[in-house]
Amino acid sequence: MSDGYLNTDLAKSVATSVATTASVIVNSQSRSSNSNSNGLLTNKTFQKALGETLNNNKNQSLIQKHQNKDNLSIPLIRKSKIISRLQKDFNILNEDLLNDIPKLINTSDNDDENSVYSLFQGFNATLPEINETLEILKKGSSRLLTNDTSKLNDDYNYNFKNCDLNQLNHFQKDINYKLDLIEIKKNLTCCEIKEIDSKIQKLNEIRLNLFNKITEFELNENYYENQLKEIETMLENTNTNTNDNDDTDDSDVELLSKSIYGKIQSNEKANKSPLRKHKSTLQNYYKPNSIINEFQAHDDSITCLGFDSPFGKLVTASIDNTVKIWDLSRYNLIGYLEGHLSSVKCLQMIDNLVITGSLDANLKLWDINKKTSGDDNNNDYLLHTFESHIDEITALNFNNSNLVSGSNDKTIRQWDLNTGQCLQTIDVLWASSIHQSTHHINNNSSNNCKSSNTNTNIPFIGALQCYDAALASGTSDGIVRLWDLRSGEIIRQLIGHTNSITSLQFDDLNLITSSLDNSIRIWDLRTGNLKNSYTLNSSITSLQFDDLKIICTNMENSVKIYDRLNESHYDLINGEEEGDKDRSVVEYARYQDNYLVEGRQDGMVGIWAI
Amino acid sequence: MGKLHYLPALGDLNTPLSEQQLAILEQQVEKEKPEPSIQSQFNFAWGLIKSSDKADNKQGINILTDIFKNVPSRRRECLYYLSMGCYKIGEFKESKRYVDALLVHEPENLQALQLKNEIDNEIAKDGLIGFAIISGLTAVGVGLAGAFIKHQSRKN
Repeated sequence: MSDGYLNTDLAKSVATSVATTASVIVNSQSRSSNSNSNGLLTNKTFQKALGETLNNNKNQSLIQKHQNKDNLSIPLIRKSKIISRLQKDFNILNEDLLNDIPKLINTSDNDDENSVYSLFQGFNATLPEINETLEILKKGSSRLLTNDTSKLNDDYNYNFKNCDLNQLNHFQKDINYKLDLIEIKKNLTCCEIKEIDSKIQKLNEIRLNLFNKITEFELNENYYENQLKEIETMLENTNTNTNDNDDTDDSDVELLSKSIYGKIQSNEKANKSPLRKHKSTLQNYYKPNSIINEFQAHDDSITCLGFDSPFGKLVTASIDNTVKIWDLSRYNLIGYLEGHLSSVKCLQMIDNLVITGSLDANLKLWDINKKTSGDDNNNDYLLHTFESHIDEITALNFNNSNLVSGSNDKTIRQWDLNTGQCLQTIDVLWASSIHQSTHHINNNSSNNCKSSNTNTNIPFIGALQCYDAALASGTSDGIVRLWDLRSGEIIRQLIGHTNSITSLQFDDLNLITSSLDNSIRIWDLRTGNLKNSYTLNSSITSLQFDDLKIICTNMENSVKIYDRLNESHYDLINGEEEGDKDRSVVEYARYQDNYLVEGRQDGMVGIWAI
Repeated sequence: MGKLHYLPALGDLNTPLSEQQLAILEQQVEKEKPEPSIQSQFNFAWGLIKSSDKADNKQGINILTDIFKNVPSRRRECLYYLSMGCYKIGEFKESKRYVDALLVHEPENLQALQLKNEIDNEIAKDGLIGFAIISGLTAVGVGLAGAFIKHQSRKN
């Protein structure tokens, strides 16, 4: 019935529209025939088109199609509209709802049958309360101030003694009634809790759906970002040689006048031209401190890793002599960074640039987005090799066009990333020998420590970080040195650690160092004083911090996190999971925007939301 | 349970609460907003339905329909309350719909049967007037149809 109605309606509308277009064409034709032959021509084509549309069977099927569409949209009419058509001044339930009555829930059968009370019983149970409050209101606010509980107790105090049978019976009835009331109230409150629980469950389901949506969106986003990057590199390749040498180092004059530390913040802001248009935010919607994923990245222990952005690309290095690139959104292997003769000991990744330092004494700069023309398949991503060190590279750091590297040949070298040239070599052995001669007399134990270090695999230069002309180095003698790269001299030495420095990082305020002596020290960068320190149970192998957190790995099977706001320590473990204890030792961890990636001794990589 | 029946009797409809009692019930709902508990909502709604003011009754029905929509586990009893509410404002057709829907699921619910009986009585009263109109209409309809058929047959 309704279909038929719709058909006629649609046919009518089609007819009217055809008529109007036809009349327009005819009118315009009559006008244009007088003035312009061009108009006539176009009108002829119009006529032709019109004729076709009217005669062609295909178009009829097209109309049919639209009709079907309209049929589909019938159930999409707003229900509120239907109700308003009924034009009653109170709500009426429609038939669908009337028929949709759930069967008695099984759980209620399992409980005592009496435990299900009607709303009406609840109403009756609350009436006495209402009357009570009314009474209180009538008697004035003074009653409100008095203790309510005492009044309650009065009510429940029955004077059993000296009562006759009648009174006792009366009391019995009364108490039974009150018990019933209480029971009803209790059960209704229980029902409310159940209601809330089911609401929470529903909300959780909705949240899960939304979460999955975000996952999907971000996967798509990643896909397009990658495509965009490819296109951009292709565009770049076509526009080569046009604008290469624009960025010259002209900041030196300014450098002298300004404090380097003060520049850190301003420069960081200026340099932020993100490669990605959009940032991944999915990690924020995981439960904090829960594992997002883990996968077997290498067959042997991971030495270090770096990633560009949450759910972006990850580079892992292992003592199995491979360096691999991973896609963190799909957890698949993208490629290898091949070229080092030995295993990679340290690496840093900023956006698409990766620099690796290897036991073969070379540093290599890679661009993981750029596959240089595929003649030599092995070195697809390689941009440059820095060869000068004569012993294994143990630490490196770069930002902007500055690269510093520390090697077991006991030198720090500074490189220019634009030219690939070694700018200067700093001999740390000399520096530490001065320290040794002064320190030697005072403290024999540190010397012992050192001699033992040289025997084992502990690197001489454990950690480096540079910013502009500022360089911080941590060495196996447990001393942190701050250098001025312009003069190549030590500005300050921070003494305190009693064993090798393994990691350090500074921002505009603090320098934080970790050492094999199990401690983490937070230094004030301006004064060089120790601000804070804390100790863990074992040697700390790597650390990273921001304003909120300090995370470190300490040869245990979980990453240790220090919350700087709450000043609380905790382990990064999956609360419920039992498998945590089976996990192997975490070697290295990096994080960014609450997204942490850690590499373990058994070659597993774990990704966490923190 | 003695004094505490599972569902209200018909007589309950005609024992209105005092204005203050209603005010307290309303306050309770307001206090719990934006997520008032079902019980508080019902208390207010039932208070309104017991009221002798028709506008109040309708407001009560509106609240009850909301409860019906939002809380599937309370639908059965809500049908009964709704049926009573509609009965009170004289909307016997709706009232009958609701109680019939309830009886589909609980054919042996004595109170519902009783209510249905009451409603049927009321409808029967109304029906005397309604029947006259309907029968008149059908007579006209039959007459027209007959004329039409005759007309058609003549044509052929």
